[in-house]
Amino acid sequence: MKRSERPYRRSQERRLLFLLFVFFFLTIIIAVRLFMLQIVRAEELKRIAAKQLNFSVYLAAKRGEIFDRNYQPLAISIEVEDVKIDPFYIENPKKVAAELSKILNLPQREILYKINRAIKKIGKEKHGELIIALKVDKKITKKIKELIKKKLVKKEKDFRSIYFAPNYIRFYPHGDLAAPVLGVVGSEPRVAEGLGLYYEPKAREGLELYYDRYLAGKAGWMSFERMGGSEPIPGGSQKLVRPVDGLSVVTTIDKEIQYQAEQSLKKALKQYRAKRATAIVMNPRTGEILALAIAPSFDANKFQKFSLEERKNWALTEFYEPGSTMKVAVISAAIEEKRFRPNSRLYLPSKLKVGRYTIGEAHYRPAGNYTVETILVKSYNIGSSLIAKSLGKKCVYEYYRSFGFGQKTGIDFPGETRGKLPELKYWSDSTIYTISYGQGIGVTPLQMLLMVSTIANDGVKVRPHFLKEVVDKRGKIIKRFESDLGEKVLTTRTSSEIKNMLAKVTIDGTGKEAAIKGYQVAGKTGTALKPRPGGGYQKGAYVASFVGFAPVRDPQLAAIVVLDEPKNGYFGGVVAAPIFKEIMEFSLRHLKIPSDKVE
Amino acid sequence: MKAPKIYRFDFSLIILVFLLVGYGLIMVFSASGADFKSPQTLLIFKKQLVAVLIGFFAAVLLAFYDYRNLKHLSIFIYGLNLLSLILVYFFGQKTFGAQRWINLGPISFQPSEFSKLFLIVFFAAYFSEIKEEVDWKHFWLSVIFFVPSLALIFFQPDLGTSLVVAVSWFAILISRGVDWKKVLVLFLLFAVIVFLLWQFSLIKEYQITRLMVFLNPDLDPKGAGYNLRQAQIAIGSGGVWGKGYLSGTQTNLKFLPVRYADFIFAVVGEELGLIGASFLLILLFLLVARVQLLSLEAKDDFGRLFCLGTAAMWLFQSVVNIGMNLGIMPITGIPLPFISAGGSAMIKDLMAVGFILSIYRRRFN
Repeated sequence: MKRSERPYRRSQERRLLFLLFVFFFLTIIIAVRLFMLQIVRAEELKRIAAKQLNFSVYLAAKRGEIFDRNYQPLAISIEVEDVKIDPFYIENPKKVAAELSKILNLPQREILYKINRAIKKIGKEKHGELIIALKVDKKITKKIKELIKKKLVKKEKDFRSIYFAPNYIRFYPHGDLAAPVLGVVGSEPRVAEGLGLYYEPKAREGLELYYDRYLAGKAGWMSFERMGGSEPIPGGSQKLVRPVDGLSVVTTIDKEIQYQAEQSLKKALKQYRAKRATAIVMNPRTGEILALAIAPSFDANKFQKFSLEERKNWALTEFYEPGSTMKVAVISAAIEEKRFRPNSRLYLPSKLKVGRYTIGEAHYRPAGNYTVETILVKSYNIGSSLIAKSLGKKCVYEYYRSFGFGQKTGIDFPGETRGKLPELKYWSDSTIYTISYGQGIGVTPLQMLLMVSTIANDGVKVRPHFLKEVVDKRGKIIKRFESDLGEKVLTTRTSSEIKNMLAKVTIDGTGKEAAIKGYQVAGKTGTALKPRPGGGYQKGAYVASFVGFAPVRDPQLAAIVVLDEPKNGYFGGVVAAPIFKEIMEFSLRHLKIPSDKVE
Repeated sequence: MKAPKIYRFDFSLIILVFLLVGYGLIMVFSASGADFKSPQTLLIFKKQLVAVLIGFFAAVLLAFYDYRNLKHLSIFIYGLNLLSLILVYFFGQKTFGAQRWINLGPISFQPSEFSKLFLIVFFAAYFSEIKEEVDWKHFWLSVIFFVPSLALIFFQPDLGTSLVVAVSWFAILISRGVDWKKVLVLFLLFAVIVFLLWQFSLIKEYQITRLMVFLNPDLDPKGAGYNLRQAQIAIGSGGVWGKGYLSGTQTNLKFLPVRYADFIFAVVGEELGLIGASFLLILLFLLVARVQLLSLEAKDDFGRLFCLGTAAMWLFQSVVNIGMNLGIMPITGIPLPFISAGGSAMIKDLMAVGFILSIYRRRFN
């Protein structure tokens, strides 16, 4: 060594000391970080490690079917398949997209976009899946499977990337039949840990929604421990939660009557150029709804093309001013309260002045004495007004309530409205008159039908319903609709007197058009101007209705027909009664109900 | 004065290296044994075992060899290094987009790994030959010697290794004693080169992403960010005691990428917990500290600078690799010395150990 050893050594030692210090400092940083991860965040990271170990596949449940009362299918689930892609095997996305587009009949561009998105999202080094096409017909997926087989023989590995997952679609074999009653099932995207995106069926409206708890079943999961690349661990723990199929709902609907009601309404819509129409057929003894038709209806298999408004079951969710059909309630109250007899006579002026208003009749009627029966059969407004006045506000209000107006009927359907029965304190001086012939009150077609059914059922009000029973796959009955005893609103005697009066309506009253050969038919017409939202009435806009039952001796069927804004004629007796007749006649004969009248 | 024969070896270093190599083999066994996908289970472990045996053999030879002879051979070593790097450039095998390997039938090796050692030998010799202060001429000459190797490694591309050789070279320069002006020039030069590389897009995009991703894993959540995240999940989920040897779910189920190499520290953290990770940290700390202290014992500048260059290499590799596993350093693909699987690296590191033992043996004469 030429240089002096000592100072060199010393500077070297100083440098080394500095290096050791830097080194020590770095080690401390690492130790602190290690402490942070392995002690402070240990629990959190342990959870994450355990969670990403599990990988799950969604297994759709088969939704239960909806049947009519004779087990004719109204809504069924058809097995289809989702086409998925695992980008792991894809070398040439274009080739795969071209072949798939031919079979799926989708634009190649769209498929290519989805494949590329899958590659971008999942990456090519890992397994994963992304949906290419949802709910594809099995005939088509069979073609894809054949293609894959062919391609794999040719060692085109790309085609290993295509996967299938079982799924179901909801299918309504009769398209628009009872569509607003059955409702619709949509699907909702969901994201779950270790599963990614999947679609879950979601009932949106109607019986599908109301009975979703039976119909839906329970989706299953197949979860397995996976490796980093998402592939299952051979021999790793697997867990399969099988999907539970939904139960089927048997409704009280009779497909044939439903069909007839819809056909009759369609015809009426055309004939009277009405905006819309509804008809309900019900068994007054049990409350079973045999048909609920709405026109225009919608194709349930393409429900997305229709707005919520167009899909609405407004026979239950909307109310209207009923007009004269309401007189039945007032006169029932009068008889029940023993204030009048059917043959009691009242003096009716030709016009009645009430404050600023003048109550008149639809057709000219001379002043004079008229019986209660005549008032009902000929539908005299002044008659019902005077009867109501003599009963008093409170009495009329209470009878309306007990008939079910202003309350839900309790039908098993989502979104039923209570209608609108103004509380007594809001009644003006004229309300007692107008409300007696159905103005200033809002009722649903079902509520009106329920009132008439109560009379048909000897004064017992039952709960209308769609559910007959719930059955499992093998047809075993899981649950039956439990009918309550009902509420006695009128005595049997009053009911039979009202029945007899209503029977005359179709003989020589306003509802002659509703008469059916071989059967005694009871009923009441209704014609009402539509109220303007701001108050007052719309000129020329009517709601025409007919509600009734048959046979009068032993009522088996009650029905209501409501036409909204008919143009060629507007009297309930003219436009609604013939449709009522058509539907009722068909129903009576279809159900082979014995005739009670010899012509 | 002559020491008794038995004291001619530095047993503390030998014990440390044995512990590290043993620890490494145990962890590689865990990390490679779980590779379900590969039909050749444990292949990586077996390769590593062979490398360790070759490395020990080379270390023993070097320990008995008089290291001072290498000083005279250093220019040939430099030539060999450059030649092997050029050969990689022309005949190298491409894996994962980089050309780093030379295939010789059944065996393949990574010349850039050996470059680390060869360049330390060369520059230790170069600077020890300078007897006076390092002047500008010596300084620029060393830069000229260094740049071709650096460039060849950088453009393989192998960013990690080029950083390691640069750090080793810089450590030797500093240890030799160089005034602050030259250090400043060096930093300016570095800045200019980085700027030019960036301007002419010679830095690959993935390299930038990988460098930046530790600051924000969401930059590349499925790629580099994924790796980073999985490594931290592995280490953190190990807790204090670990999940037990061979029981790491992150490791065995392949959530961890390149778990037997770059991310082996995460395997240690997961399976053996804070205890195992701290133990490894202490072993590495003692190794580097021991080699630094040994440099004081060296008889001549060549041996001293070699020790310091090697210590800097191991220190830098350890800090960067562990920092990467812990998510506080960028992902650079630098292996953990003696622990990560990799034959060339293991042989090179053990050769360096043999070299240091030889320096120690001749500290008195």
